[in-house]
Amino acid sequence: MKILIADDSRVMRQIVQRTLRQAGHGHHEIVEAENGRDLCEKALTTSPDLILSDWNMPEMNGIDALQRLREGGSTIPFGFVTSEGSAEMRQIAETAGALFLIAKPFTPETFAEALAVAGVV
Amino acid sequence: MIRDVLAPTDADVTMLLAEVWASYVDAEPLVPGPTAASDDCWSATTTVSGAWRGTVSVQLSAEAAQRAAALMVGVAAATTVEVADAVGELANMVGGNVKSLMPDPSSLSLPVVRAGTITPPSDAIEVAASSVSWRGLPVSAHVHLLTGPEAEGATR
Repeated sequence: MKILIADDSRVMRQIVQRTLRQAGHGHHEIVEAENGRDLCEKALTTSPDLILSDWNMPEMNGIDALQRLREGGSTIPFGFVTSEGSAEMRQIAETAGALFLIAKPFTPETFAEALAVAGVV
Repeated sequence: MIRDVLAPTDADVTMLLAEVWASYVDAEPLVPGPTAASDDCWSATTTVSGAWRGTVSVQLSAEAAQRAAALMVGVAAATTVEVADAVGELANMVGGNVKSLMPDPSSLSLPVVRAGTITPPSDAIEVAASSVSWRGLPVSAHVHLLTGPEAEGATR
């Protein structure tokens, strides 16, 4: 599978990749994006099977990127990986079409559970 | 009055800092310790706006920032860019979790990172803090309540 990881922090993109490996998902191809605009472009050009996105990013945030993708007809499974894990944020994410929201700090087990929900093997 | 405004406690901040540190840096326990010297540190701050208004900042000694960043990135020595990125992300994670403890709706700013200290706004009052020692190195987190009027043009 191809997983698109979007976060303006390169450090966090690397941590997410490391956590994917620790969760038993180190065999997937990884594409990186550094903001919501970059995410939308790469979603179109690389056709990922799953998008893992931060919420708060410069140029375009994650929720706006998700809404843009859905408005354009994209059905790519999408999950948030964010420091903001309140009930309100989870509801906004779900309404916009996200499958899950992983709150930072996270564990490999949290990732494994979320990816299982998304049907990623 | 300040005492009527909801705010995280020192214990909340200590817990959040410890959780973030254990998840992304290493499992070495954080113990009470002094704040980093202002002339030898990295700092980052995020701002929460909306139903609750405040800033959440972290401050690390230069050595703590370098060593923490290297562990977060998985390298022997982090570059200056990686140190700034890592310190900003630490502030983002502590800030996001403080935001989740406070009333909704609100929004979290992107982190502002600086080599040195970041002076809080003049209307900011510190309401919670945690100063710890990690491997003998100073790390601290601070929460300030913003008491002045919200700036014009501020958006959620």
